[in-house]
Amino acid sequence: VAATAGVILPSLVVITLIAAFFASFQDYAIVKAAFMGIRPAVVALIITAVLKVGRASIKDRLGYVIVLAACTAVMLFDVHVIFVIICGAAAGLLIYMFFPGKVKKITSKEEEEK
Amino acid sequence: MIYIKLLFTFFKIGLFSFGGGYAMIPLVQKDIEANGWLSASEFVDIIAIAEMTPGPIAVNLATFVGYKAGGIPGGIIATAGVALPSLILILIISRFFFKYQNHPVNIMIFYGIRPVVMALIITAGIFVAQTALFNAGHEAFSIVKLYENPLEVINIKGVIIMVLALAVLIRFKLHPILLIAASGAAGILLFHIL
Repeated sequence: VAATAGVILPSLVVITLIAAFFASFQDYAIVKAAFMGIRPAVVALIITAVLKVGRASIKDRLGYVIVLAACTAVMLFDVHVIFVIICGAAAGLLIYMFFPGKVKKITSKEEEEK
Repeated sequence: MIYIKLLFTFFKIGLFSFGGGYAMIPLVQKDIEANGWLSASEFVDIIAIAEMTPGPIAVNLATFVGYKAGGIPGGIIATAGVALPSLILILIISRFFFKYQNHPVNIMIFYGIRPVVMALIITAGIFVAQTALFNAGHEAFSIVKLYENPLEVINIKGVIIMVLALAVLIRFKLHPILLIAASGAAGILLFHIL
């Protein structure tokens, strides 16, 4: 508990300070311009995160299907995020119960990567 | 009570924030919208700030949103809320987890969850891209207008910055903080001075 508090406390203090200052600076034209430059950079950062996560999380074609299904559910049909996460877990569990052959393939693949 | 609402909301977000940082953006966004705590573009800027400041993005986001919604106590409560579930879960699970880490059930559950987390990160990217790369922003974003008059809707300077940022990130593995500082300078140059 103390260790967790130690990790969180510094950023809590820093962010609170920044939040307090940000409120008074955010209407300056120059600050607005800077953020208009930063926003596209954040998009680039997220794209690299997607690429990195993709390599680690998608093991086969079914993985792509789940990504596509989850994207469609959240973006187009506004399905609640928590429900989609639970569905993902349920999908994994269903494969475990009904497709032992596939489970063997996936687990052996994971072992290999370690 | 806004504090109870903040605590509850961020506890829930902390509980389901698999994959941390970016993956929790769609979840936070939904609750922020429902409660009217922040506007879409304010939220995007906070994501940028959370990225720059030390500490995990998830915690920084919670502090910032909490502060905006309920001042200093709001920031503290939201941060506690987001950290509590992982604290509790890790205390309870850590010893079981290492025992069953390689159990097929566990592997298969995460086999299903990981692609969902990736989908959430993609959703977060598209959310930020709407304010970053288009002029209309979230409120007036429409596919029809994009088709009829793309040059008016697309923020070309923003697209240029994104492409350059992506190239620099992949080619030179530039540190995110340096990238954000550089793109902030580029923003001042392109949007303020020119």
